[in-house]
Amino acid sequence: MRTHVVMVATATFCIGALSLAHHMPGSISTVKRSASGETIEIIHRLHTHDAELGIAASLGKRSTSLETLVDRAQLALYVEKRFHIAEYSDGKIGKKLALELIGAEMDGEFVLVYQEFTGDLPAELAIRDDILRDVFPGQVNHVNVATGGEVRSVTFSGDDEWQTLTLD
Amino acid sequence: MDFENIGGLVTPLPLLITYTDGNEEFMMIPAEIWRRNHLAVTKMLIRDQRIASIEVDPRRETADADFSNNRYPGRIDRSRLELYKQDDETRDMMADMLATLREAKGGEDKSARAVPLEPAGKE
Repeated sequence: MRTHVVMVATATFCIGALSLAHHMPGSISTVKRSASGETIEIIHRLHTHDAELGIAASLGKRSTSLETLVDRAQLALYVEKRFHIAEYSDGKIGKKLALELIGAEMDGEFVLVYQEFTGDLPAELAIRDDILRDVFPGQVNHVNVATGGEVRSVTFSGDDEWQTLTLD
Repeated sequence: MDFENIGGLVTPLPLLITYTDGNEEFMMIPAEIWRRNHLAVTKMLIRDQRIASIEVDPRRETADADFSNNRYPGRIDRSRLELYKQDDETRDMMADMLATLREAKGGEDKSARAVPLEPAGKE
């Protein structure tokens, strides 16, 4: 009887620990016009811990710390390589937009990566967001485009590649 | 002026009134204004001068969770990215680091910053 009680207690503890340890791996990117109106701001928000593990795995390093400038810069370059906005017309992916990489900074448990685009977004566009999807198979990336009146969203998971959007 | 209680917490309303000539007036409406209706209140303000704008809680004194809807006429606040860009030292250090890392990777892209190659003082 005593062993039975101990086993039940252990099982409950394990389930509790599992649900605590697993938040959904994901990122949120916001594309919107800046207050000055001249540029389009792209802000990627990632969990710091996910990003550190992801960068370490992707660069083949044992550990990373986003507290350091060099690793934040590595993360920024990593994100730049895996996030693209392209023109889209007649069912074809066109030219990729030249997004300028501004930098990255910590914000509590999150890390923010900044990109900027000078000019207007095309009315029809395609987005590709592979951030951390090479490292975490369950990674879900969400992109909100809020340049017009309404917020348009696309989500990337599994084998998703390009997703298209029409802006008004 | 119509005020709406979106979050649910009854709070005093600190107001910054800016007149068309640039003068400012700070005014504190006590929380008692919510006593008859805790969801929406209207306050009439009579002044001799024309009012250019009104902002609720400009000194961040209340427990407001969303400061983006506190101003009439509305204004888009500066984003994190713009604040980041404003800090020259942080931005320069990041730009240098990005340039260094890009070069280390074979120099496929040096767009982060044009680094002068001539030593300083050499004409």
